[in-house]
Amino acid sequence: MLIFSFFKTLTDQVITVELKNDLSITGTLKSVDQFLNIRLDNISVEDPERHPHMMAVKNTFIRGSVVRYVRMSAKSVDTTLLEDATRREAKEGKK
Amino acid sequence: MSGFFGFDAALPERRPGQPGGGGESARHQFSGFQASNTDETFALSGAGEEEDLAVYTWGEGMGGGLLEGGDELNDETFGDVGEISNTFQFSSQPAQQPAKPSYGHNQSTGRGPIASTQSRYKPKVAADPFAFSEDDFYSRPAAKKPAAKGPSRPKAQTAQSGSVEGLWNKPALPSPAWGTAPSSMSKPTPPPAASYSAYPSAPSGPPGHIKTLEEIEAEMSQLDVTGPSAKSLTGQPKVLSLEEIEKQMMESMEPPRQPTPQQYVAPPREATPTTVPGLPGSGYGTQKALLDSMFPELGQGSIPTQRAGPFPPGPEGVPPPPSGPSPDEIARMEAIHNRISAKIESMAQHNNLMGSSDKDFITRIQLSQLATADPYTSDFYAQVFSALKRSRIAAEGQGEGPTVVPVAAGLGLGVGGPVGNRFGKMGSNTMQKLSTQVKKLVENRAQHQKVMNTAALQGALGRVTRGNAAAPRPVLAIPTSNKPEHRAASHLNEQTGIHRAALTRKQIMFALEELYDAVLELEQMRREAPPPTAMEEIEVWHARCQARVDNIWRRLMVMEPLDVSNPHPFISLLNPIKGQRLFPRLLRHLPHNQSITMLSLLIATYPQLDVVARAPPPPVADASLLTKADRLDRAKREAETDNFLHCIIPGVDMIINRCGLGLVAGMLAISAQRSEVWKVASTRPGVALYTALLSKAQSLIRAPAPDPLNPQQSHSPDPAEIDQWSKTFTYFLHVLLPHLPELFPSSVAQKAAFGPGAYLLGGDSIGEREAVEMERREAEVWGFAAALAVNAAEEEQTSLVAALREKILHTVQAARNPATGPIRSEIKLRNVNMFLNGLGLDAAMIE
Repeated sequence: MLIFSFFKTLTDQVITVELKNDLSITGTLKSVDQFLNIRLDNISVEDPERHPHMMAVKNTFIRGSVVRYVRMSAKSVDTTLLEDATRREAKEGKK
Repeated sequence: MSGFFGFDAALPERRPGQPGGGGESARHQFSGFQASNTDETFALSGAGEEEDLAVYTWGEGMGGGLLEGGDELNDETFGDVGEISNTFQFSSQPAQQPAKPSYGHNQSTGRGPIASTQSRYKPKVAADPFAFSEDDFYSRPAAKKPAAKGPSRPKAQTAQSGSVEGLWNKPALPSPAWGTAPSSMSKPTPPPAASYSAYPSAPSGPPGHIKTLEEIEAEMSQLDVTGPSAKSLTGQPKVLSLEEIEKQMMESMEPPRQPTPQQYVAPPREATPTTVPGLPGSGYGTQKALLDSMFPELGQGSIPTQRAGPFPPGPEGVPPPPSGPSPDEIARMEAIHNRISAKIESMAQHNNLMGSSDKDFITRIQLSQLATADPYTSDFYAQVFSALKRSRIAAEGQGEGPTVVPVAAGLGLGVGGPVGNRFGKMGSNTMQKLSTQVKKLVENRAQHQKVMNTAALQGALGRVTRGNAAAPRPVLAIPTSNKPEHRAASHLNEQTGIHRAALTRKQIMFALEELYDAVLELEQMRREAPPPTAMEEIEVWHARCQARVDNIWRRLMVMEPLDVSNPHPFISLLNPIKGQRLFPRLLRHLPHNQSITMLSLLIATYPQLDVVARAPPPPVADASLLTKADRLDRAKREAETDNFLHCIIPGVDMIINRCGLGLVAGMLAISAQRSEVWKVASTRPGVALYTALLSKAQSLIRAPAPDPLNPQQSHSPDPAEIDQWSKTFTYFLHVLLPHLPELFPSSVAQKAAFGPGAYLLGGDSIGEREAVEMERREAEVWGFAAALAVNAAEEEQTSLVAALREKILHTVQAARNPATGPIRSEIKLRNVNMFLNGLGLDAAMIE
C-alpha cells in the first residue's frame, strides 16, 4: 500500500509513465488504484513519430502491470517521509 | 499455394536424383535453370569447359544479385520510409487480410495474372508438354547458341536489345512488389498469365511464349555479361529472372514424367533445386508477411502485369516506358491517409462509451476494495504528506513577514532543502533568532533587551514529568557483558576504568534504525491521543508515551560514561547525516532535563564530532589539483557540516535558549576545560555553538524583560551566576585570544595555500560566487567576535581589538578597494561593522 499511498500524493501532477513496450506517455495524473492502474489526462507521447496511433488519444487508462517506470519531479517527493513510511511498512511486514 | 508448397517439398527428393541424371550439370547448382539449360546443350554439342566456367560465373552473379536485391527491397518495404511503415502498422494488415486470400489463394478467380498454380498448370495440360519443352530447348538453343557463347554474347544481346529493353523496363513496375513477395502467388503470375493468355488466343501463342523465354534468356545473358553492372541495377533484373525461374520451375514439373525429352528436360529439373534455395530461404512465413505488408500495391501491381500481357506477343514492339513510381506513391499516400482517418473514426466510435454512472460504479468498487482496518497506517505517506503540505502552506502564509535580517544571509543556510521543508519552520526560526539575537545585542548595547520570544518553541515540548533515566542500558550487546567484569576487575577509578572501542559503522546504523523505529512509534502514539475528557485514558496514554521516551533515551546512550569511548556512542550516532536528521525530531519528545543532559554531553564531547574533528579543509585555489577521492571527501565533509548546522545547531540553540545563566556558564566551562577551544572555534559548528552560548548569556545578563508566557525563566540573573559567568568567559577569552585571527576562514585559507595558490587566493581569481560564500562564512566568525565583544569587559575589549586589528584594517581596506566587487565590499563592511558596532565603533571611523 505504500506505493499506492505515494502515488496518491502525486494526483493532479504531471508525470511521465514509461510502459514496458517503450511507449512513454506524459500527462496529468488523475487517479491511481491499488493495482497501480493509472489514469492520465491531457497526454502527450514522447515520440509521436513512432506512435502515430496515439495522436488521437487525449486521456488514457494504463493498466498497472504494463508500467515500467514513472517519472516525476523530485520536489514532489518527501524523501524523509518516504523513508519513514518505508520503515513503517517494513515493521508491518515483520509483525 | 498448396501446390507451391508441394513443389517446394518435392525438391529435396529430386536433388539426390540429379547427379545421376546429369552429372556434369550437377556442378552448377547455383546457376539458374537457363544456365544449366544452355550448359546442357553445350554438353550435348560437345562444347568446351569455357562455357561451364562462363555459365558458372553468371549463375553466381545472379545468386549474389538475388540476395542483394532482396535486401534492398526489404529496405524499401520495411525501412525508414515513413509512409510505408505506417501502412504496415496501420490497418493494412488487418483490413486486407481477409481480402488477400481471395486474391492469392483462390485459384478459381478468373483473373489470369492472379490465378496461381492452376493457371500455370492449365496451359501445360492443354498444350503438349513436349512441344513446350521442345520449343524451349530446340528452337531456343538454336537461336541462343551463339548468344550463349561467351564472346559472342554481346552480339546476341544487341540483336535482341529491343525486347530485352522491354523486359528490363517492364519489370521495373512489379519489382518492388516482388522484393517483398517473391512467392509466386501474386506477382510472378503475370508473365505466365500473359504468355498463356496469348497462347490459346492465337497460333502465334507458342512463339510468343518462346519469345518470353527467349527474352528471359537474353536478359540472363545480359545479366551474365553485365555482371557487375547488373548488381548496380539493384533488384530489377533479379526480379524478373526469379519470376521466370519460378515459371520455369512450374513447367518443369510436368516434363519429367515424359520419358523422351528427359535429356533436355533434365536441365530445368536441375535448375529447380538451384532456384529453390532462394525461395525457401526466405520462408513462407516471412514471404507472407512481406506480401501482407505490400498488399496495397497488389492491386496496382496487377495492372502493370496485365499490361505486360500484350508484351510477350510483340516483344519487338517498343515497350511503353514505365509510368514511373510517382503515381503509385501518390496512391499509396492516399491509401495511408484514408486508413489513418478510418482508424481514427473507428476509434472515435468508442468515445464516451462508458457513461459517468458506469465510471462511478467502477470507482465505488475500487474504493470498497481500498477500505482497510487501519487506514492511517496503510496510507501513512499520503496522510502525513498532505498534512505537512497543509501546514507548510499555512506556515508560508504566516511567515511572509518583512523580517529580513542581514546576518541571516550568513547563517540561515540550506533551509530550503527537502528536510528543511519538513522541519524548516523550526530550523529557520531558530537560525533567524540566533542571528537577530546577535544583531540586537550589538545594536543596542546599552539598552535592555527583550528576550527572544521563544514561545513557539517552548510550547512544543511541554512539561512531561521527568523520566527515570537512571541505569541506562546500552542497546548494543557487545560491550555490555564486559562492563561489570571490567568494573569488578579494575581497582581503578570507575570513571577511568571503562573503555571500549567506538561503535562500528554497522552498529551505528543499526542503532539509528532502531531509534527511527522507536521515534516513529512514539510519534504515532502521540497522534493517537485520547480525547481530553477521558482522564484515565490520558493517564494511560501518558504512561505509555513516557515508556517510549525512556526507551529512546536509553537507546541514545547519552548516559554512558563520558570517556567510555572515543567518539562517545552518542556522538557516533550524530556523526552520520542520518543521525543528524533524527536529532530535531528527538528533541521534540525529550523532556527539558534530558535535553539539557544531552546538550552537556554534546558540548563536552564536541571535539569528537566528525564535523569538528574532520572539519572540511579550507578551499584551494585550484580544485583541479585535487584527486577525485579528495574532491569527494571534501564534498562529503562539506555536506556533513552543512547538515549539522542545519539539523543540530537549531536544536542546540533551542535548548540553550531555555537554560539559565548558570547552565550556560557551566557549559562554556565544560567546553573550555575539555577541549581546545580555538580548535573547536575554528570550525563552523564550533563558531555557531559559542555564538549561541555567548549571546544567550549576554541577553540573560541584561536583565531580560519578563516573558509573559514563561515567567519562571525570566527571573533576573543571580549575582553569583553572573560572577561565575564572567570568570568563565575571562578564561575562555584568554585561551581563545591568541588564536582569534586564525579563526577567520580567509586567514585559514591563506595559511593553507602555498605556492602560486597563495597569491591567487588573495586576488580576484576566485569566482564571485565562491568569494561571496567566503564572505558569508567570514560573517559567522565576525558574529562570534561581536558576541565576544559584547561580553567582554573594557580591558578585554582593548585586547580583543588589538588581536583583531590587522584583520579589521585589512578587511576595511579590501572593502574600499575598487577592485573588490560591490557585493563583496558591502558584505565585508557589514561584517566588520558587526564587530565594531559591538564596541561602539564603526568602520567609517577608520582612517
